[in-house]
Amino acid sequence: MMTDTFKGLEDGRDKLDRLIDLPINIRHQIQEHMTIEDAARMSVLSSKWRHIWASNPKLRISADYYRKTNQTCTIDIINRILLQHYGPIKTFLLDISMINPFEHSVIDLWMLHLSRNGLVELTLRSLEYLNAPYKLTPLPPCSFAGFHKLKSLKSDGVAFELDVATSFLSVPNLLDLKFLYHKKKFHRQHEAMNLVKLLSSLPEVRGLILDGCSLKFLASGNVARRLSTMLHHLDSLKFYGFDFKDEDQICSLLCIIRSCLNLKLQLLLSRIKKDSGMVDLNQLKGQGLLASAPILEELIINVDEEVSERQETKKSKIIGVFAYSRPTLTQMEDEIETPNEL
Amino acid sequence: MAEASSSITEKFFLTLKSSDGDEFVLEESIAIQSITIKNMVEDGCSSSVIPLSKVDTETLIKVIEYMKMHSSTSSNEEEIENFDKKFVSNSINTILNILEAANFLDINNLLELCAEAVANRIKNKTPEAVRKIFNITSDFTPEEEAEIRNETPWAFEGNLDHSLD
Repeated sequence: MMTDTFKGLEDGRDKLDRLIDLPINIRHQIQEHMTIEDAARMSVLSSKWRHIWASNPKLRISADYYRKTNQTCTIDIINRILLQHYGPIKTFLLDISMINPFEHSVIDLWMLHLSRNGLVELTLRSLEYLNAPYKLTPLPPCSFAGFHKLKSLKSDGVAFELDVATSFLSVPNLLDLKFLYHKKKFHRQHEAMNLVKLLSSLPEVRGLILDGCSLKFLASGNVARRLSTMLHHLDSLKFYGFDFKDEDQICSLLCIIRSCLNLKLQLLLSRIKKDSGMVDLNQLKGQGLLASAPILEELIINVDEEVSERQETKKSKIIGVFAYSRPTLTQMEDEIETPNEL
Repeated sequence: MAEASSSITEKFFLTLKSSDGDEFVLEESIAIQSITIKNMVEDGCSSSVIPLSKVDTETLIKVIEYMKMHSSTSSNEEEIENFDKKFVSNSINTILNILEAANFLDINNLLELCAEAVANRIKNKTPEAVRKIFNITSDFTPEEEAEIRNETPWAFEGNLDHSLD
């Protein structure tokens, strides 16, 4: 009886405002599942929600939001969002599709601002391909000290063009790097050099995600046998859109594997389209995959049918898992099975 | 034979007690999805009944359903997906109760699921609709509200949803 009365009172409480009693990170967590406009609109609900959106350490400005907005004031809005924000920004995601390439220098300023505020995770993407590649170059070297806390850098359809002489992208603590290019049209020699140089400056990196096009960049830089720095901690390598017939891609893959000092390496190769031909592991073998990795004790290769690079979480059908332990690695030369159904 | 009997004795059970006084017996391996309970077990508090003073019976039943589904090795991904979909269709009040319980019990996946469910009820809605859905009383004067709207005019553009679904 008492319980019923008590429950009745409970139901009468302000339902959302009781969330105010929860830790602020949970209110932020709720807002992470909506667009930044949805979150900003919550500031008028009541004084308890007034500044919640502006203190969220995860800031995501995605393309959903641009569709509803007049493009000409996009930069102004992002400037205001950054000015209104208080507290650290640890995660920053920006879709640069709708920013006019003539105005890319403003992105450099945002990067500079973020680099000084303890950024941990940076994602830049350009999903619409309307854009010229963003070039992270003109940062004044005297004021840009690098992203010292950055642990994760993801670039999707965005080419960083680093001017090696003046401002090298300094990310000494980077653990995860994802570079997807999608299109071959940005293919240029010096970008390959940048990627090689960037990889060589990341001895701490644990996870690496590249796609077929970024692999070609590596190859066009006239790949050495291995990178100038060995990757001691690399334990996860993923290649999207891997073309088993493309020698450049295979060479680049081998170059990275040769530079890997971890004894156990997980490798995921996924093909981008069904028409990219047979999955031919013999091709890899022929190029000396196994011989390239003399110290590997275990190499697990997942060959994935079709993975959407947009949604890493998307379920994909794994059509072959090949686990090579050291003893089998040495004597399996003729025993690798190629899935027949493909 | 000996192996079979030892695998039975290896199953430990815990008794959880809701704020309404109802007791639920649950396999330890399922219950320790809750970090709060896991810590209690590790501290040796699990031999007696574990009182959960912040979780009522109705909510605890839902939380246990969730933990059983998500720990079971027999349920496949599709089953779990369907279960989660149905789970978030509970009334918003129930979702908020579960969200609070998930925070108290420290069950990260459940917290994430409920946070998303709450967010989905807010997305694209006008502030007026959100206030009605969640029964929020604004403590701003009309002037103050206009001023706040003016700080982020871009957030109020476009066609917003007035419905209370």
